[in-house]
Amino acid sequence: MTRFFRYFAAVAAVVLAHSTFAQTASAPAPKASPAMFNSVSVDETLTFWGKKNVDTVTELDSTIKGKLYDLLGWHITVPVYSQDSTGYGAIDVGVDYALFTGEKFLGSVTNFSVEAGAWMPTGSAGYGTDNVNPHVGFNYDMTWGSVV
Amino acid sequence: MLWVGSYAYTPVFGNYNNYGLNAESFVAYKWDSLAVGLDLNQWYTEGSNVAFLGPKAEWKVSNNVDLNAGFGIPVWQEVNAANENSWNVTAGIGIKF
Repeated sequence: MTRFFRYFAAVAAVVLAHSTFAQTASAPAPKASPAMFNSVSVDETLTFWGKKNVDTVTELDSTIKGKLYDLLGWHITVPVYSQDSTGYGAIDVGVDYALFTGEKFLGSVTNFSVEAGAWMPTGSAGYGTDNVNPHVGFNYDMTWGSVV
Repeated sequence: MLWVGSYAYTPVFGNYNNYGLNAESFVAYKWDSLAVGLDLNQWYTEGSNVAFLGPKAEWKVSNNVDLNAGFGIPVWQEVNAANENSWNVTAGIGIKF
């Protein structure tokens, strides 16, 4: 009988241990804090500006952008121009902040963000600038339908 | 919409300007990962302005790659004759890491 109780106690201990383990495993993992730099991406945009009386201007914008702590967007853009000569323009450094995202408005899903930055006093002759040129702006989009 | 202060080169005007205002409006229809629509791209500066209108498409190729392309012709413009615009073509790629 004593042996039976010992066996029963051992089985109960194993069951309890598994039960505790299962509860621990199914508990939600603590949410990791966002990395300082995340959502990093690279954009390349090529634009041809056709002119009536002079040669076409070719513009290649190279951008690296991302987010700081999943909160504030940032970007650095280097434009390169080519017409009679080729050179790079002022380097653009800026940030953006989403005031609201995915809001329901007039039956649409609406996003709105503001941005600010400056073109740095750099660049080749003919395309650069001697000044810090500030810029401000906003991006706004509305999407209707189920394909959001 | 973008406002640019001070003295900067703008290819659409082909020279330096004291300020600039750029507003882009894109009205599109979406099929899953593809958006096709009409794009109106307006530029203003001291005594000059131009607006391009034309088709544009954005395609989310995969979770981390986006493509876009568009074509525009001026629907109105007041630009010095030397830099008058006749068309523009743009193409872009975005890669997320």
